Order: sequence, then C-alpha cells, then structure tokens
Amino acid sequence: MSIQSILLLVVFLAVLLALAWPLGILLTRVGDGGAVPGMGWMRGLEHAIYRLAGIRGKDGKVEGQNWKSYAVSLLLFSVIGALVTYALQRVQAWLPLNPQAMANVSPDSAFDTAVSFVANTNWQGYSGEQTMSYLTQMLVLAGQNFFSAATGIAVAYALIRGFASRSAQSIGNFWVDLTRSTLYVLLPLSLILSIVLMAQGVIQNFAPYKEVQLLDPVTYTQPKVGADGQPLKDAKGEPVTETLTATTQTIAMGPVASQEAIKMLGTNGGGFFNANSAHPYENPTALSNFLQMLAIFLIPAALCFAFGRMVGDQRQGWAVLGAMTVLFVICTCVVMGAEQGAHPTLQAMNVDQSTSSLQSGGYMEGKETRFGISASTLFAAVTTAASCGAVNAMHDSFTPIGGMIPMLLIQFGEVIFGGVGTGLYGMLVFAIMAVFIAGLMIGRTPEYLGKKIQSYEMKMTSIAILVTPTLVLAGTAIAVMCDAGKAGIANPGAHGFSEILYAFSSAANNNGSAFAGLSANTPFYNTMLAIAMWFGRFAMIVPILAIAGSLAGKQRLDANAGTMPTHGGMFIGLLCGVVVLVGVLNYVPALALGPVVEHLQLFAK
Amino acid sequence: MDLVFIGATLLFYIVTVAMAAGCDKLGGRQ
Repeated sequence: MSIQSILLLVVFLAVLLALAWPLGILLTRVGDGGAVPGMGWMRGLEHAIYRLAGIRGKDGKVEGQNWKSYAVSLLLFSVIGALVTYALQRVQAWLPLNPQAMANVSPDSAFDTAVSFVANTNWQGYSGEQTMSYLTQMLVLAGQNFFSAATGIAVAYALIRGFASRSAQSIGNFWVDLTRSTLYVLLPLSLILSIVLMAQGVIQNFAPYKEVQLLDPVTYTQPKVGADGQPLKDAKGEPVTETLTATTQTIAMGPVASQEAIKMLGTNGGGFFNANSAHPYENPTALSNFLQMLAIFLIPAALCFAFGRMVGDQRQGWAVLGAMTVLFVICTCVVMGAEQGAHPTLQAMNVDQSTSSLQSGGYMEGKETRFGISASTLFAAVTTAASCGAVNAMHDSFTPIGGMIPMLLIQFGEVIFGGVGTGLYGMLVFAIMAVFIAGLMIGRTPEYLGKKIQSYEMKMTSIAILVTPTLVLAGTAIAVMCDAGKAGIANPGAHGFSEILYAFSSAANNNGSAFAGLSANTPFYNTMLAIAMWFGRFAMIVPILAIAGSLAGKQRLDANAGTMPTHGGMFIGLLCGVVVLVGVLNYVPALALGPVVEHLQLFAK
Repeated sequence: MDLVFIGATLLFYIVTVAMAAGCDKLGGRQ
C-alpha cells in the first residue's frame, strides 16, 4: 500500500463522515413524516401526489400499514415498474429521442434489464450506447434508479420503526416513505451532483453520435463472434481473434450527467456507457471520481445516523457504522496492497512496476491512468461494499486476491455500508443474529433496543440471511454444469469459475458489477440472473418487513443491569465476527475453487 | 416471447406474495 492510498482512504472517510452527519438529520426528518426545513414548498407537491394516488383515508390523513400491506404495496409497485421497463425497451424503436435509431431490445435482454433495474442491481448484459435510446435511458432506467433506491430507504424506515415503536400495529406507509425519500432526499441530491459532474466534464445532451477521423489508423485484435453473438473458440477451446484496422471513431453522446448522479447516490451502478465510470464522459477527472465514491456511501452512512436518532440512542447508529467501517477498511487495505504489488508475470518480463512521479506503479491492467492504483482500488472496494456495482476499472483484470476482495465484499451480503437502505437493514439483521448468539452464550432471552428477540424473529432472520447464499451457490452450480453456462466463459479454468461465481454473487446481492469476461447477454444468463436478482432482493425484503411488523407489536423494555449493551466496542467486535462467520463462511469452498486456486497458480509459475 | 417474459415477471410477483403469506403463517403477531 502506498502513502497516497492511505491518505486517500483517510480523507475519503473523513469527508464522508462530515457529509453523512447532516444528511442523517435530514433523513430522520423525512422518516418521521414531519416538515423538512428549507423544503416546505415541496409539501404541497407531496400532498398532491397523495391525492392523485388516492392513498388518503376518509379523514384526509394517510393511514399506516401493517407489514403485510406494506410488503404487498412494495411488491406491486416493483412488479408494475418491471413491466413498464420491459415494455418501453420492447417498443423504443418507434418512440422519440432515438437519434441512433436503436432497435427494440430483445425479449430476454429486456426482461433481465427490467428485473435488474427494479431490484436496484443494474446488472447490464447489454452495452448502453449500442442498445438503449435516450428515452429508454432517461425514462425507465433512470426512473427505476430513483424508485428502487427509494424502495430500499422505505424498508430501512419500516425496520427502524419496528424497533422504535411500542405495541404498534403499523410500520408506516410504503407510498409515503417512497414519495418522501424521492422528493426530499434523492431528487435534491441528484440535482446538485449532476450540476457538479457537468462542471467536471460529464456530458448532458441529446445530440446524435459524432464520427471523428483518427490522427493515426489503429490496428487491434478482438474476439471473433459467431452468428449467435457468442465468442468463437478453436479446437483447444481458446478464443478465436481477428485483427482489424480503424481510421474513424464513433463518439457516443447522450444525457449522461442526469443519470450519473442517481446511479451513484442510489447505489444503482448501471452506466450510461458500457465502460461505466471508466468512460471519460461519465467520470472525467480525479475530483469527479472522488465525488462519485462519496455519493455511493453517502446515504448508507447517513442512514446509520438516522437509525440512531429514530430509536432515541445515537450510540446505536455509531455502533452499526463502526462495524461497517472496520470491515471496509480491512478489505480496502487488502485490495490496495494486492494491486500495488508487482505482478509476477510482468516482473519476469522486467516490466517496471515501481511507483514514481511518472507512474502509479503496481498492476495497471484494466485500470485508467488518470486514476492510478489508489483511486481504482478504493473505487472497487466502495462500489462492491455498497451494492452499487459501478466500476472505474475492470475487476476481471485485477490480481486473484485483488479481484477476490470485491467478490467477498459482495458476498458479505452488501451490509458493509451496503445499498441505500439495504445496507442498514441487512446489518440490523446481522445485529439480531449477534444478540441471539450472545443470548445463547449467557443464557438470557436476547434483546435488541429493548425488543425481545424470539423464535419468530429468528426464523425470519434465518430466511433473510440464507436467501442470497442459496441463490448464489445453486446458480453457480447449475451454470458450471450446463453447456449454456460454460459457453459464456472467456478464460477456461479457475478464472472461468470465478467469472460465474462473481456473476451470481453480484446478481443475488444486487450489486451489478461483473468479471466482465463472462458473456452474459444470452437467454440462459439473462433468465438465471433475473431469478437471482428478483429473489435476492424481494425474498430478503419480505422476511425483514415481517421482523419489523413483529417487533412493532412488542413492548419496548427498559435496559437493566442484565441487558447486553449494543453500542460499545464489544458489540462492534461481536457484530463483525457474526457478519464474517455467518455471512461469508458459506462461500469459502467456492472461493477456494476460484480466486484462491488462481492465486496459487500465479505464484507457482 | 413477450408473453413468456411478462408471465415470468408476474410469476416472480406471485411467488414473493405467497412467500409473504407463508412468513405470516409462521407465527407473526400481525
């Protein structure tokens, strides 16, 4: 790890903390349902939406929902969003704002994309600038970026209310939480960040693509694809390549900045361009890169502070944030160290990999020179710790250990800061598990924040924790046994297995990044990953809302001498241990077959 | 093919709602 990497990490966390604290106060106001200072003029719009949606009761007030009504509302909203997103992709060729005359998206790709964006995953089997019209990008993809993020915040609010309320039947109203999160949090922040990103050089236009003459012809090789769009392979199973010469280049245009801000703030991650945040029109400068990393963690960190305020004990929020930060810093240091070190293959060829004033040193394959090792590895850790999945470097090109850490961060269940809302409610599920284990050790009924944790909560907690590993491991096993699954692998052997494991980990945990060597835009992967994305999202939300409903109906007990404190260093340590042991241990055998074997092969040569 | 994928999306919804009903039957208070 270089001094620059350490400084970048420290400054990043310091600025994050400074911004997340005031945002936590705003999120508390939004969750409490009161007026938001400085945004009173939005109150009229908020109530107009309620009137139009017809969600007011007979007395003019919006009524609370029990957990089942809340869950069905959320699922109904999501399935309608998926159908609308699917439909628009299938008819985009006949709609306006399509200067490149993009064809209608194929049914399986449209299905995968619709589920992906509704589930806050933004897994992209397609290439944005070659597939989607501007209307599709702006209306349904950016629209779902707002709605899926607001849905995550809503579930976090519902669970917090479960802890905070006393003998209540309601956990809030989904439509109110969705509306307020969008109006008061996501829209204002996105507007500000979009303008700042435009100032940094992110484009925002409706112009047709530009054809420009190259100063020098460029000769390059690329994998040859068959009529089915899949890479051709020779008798040995190696990819067949072809050599081409280009004299012109097409420069893609589009309304990028407006989508870029919510892509980060909503931990969505789906890029306007195929290269995502490695593309100079999405992420042009070191400052835009720093702001994008901050935007990813901003709401997840602020929600920890909002959690502490809403349950009436700010130390609880600090404890959850502390556990997230400890795990994040450890993982980030490992990936920074792995990529800053010399690559043995290049070392054998006497390639200079040392750090100097002219180069960042380390292993630069798949990374942008304007970001270097430090900003590329920190971005990789941030985007996979949160369920964002935007990339400014190709994770597939990282060293085996450097690539394993982003995969591991995803496999933690996206609870290390995690997605907008999802990170907090995921970590609180682990907190329930932690107090349960502590209760077993000391022979006392477990309590968390004054609520007794009983058999029903533990059943729901078990379901919520086991859903994603089941989807990941079963999906990976099916893919490596099927010809259709193996056909997409770019690198045979251990790395090919890693590509598939990463894809299912990313889909089921709603991250969306990839080891992009995997050719996943096929009916097999579009269908399998859609199943992983939908159930990885909603089969986890349902038991969490059930926990919220059950906790809301309970008395809140006062702490006494026998109550285990859940705000100190001991609890943070216990929580970290539970996340590692319960969350990640499921994946150790699979990781041993992929990145661990790769690492041993690399250093055995 | 459109009907197949629209049907699949609706099936996802139905299965998840059924899961919510199952969670309720497991013994929650509400």
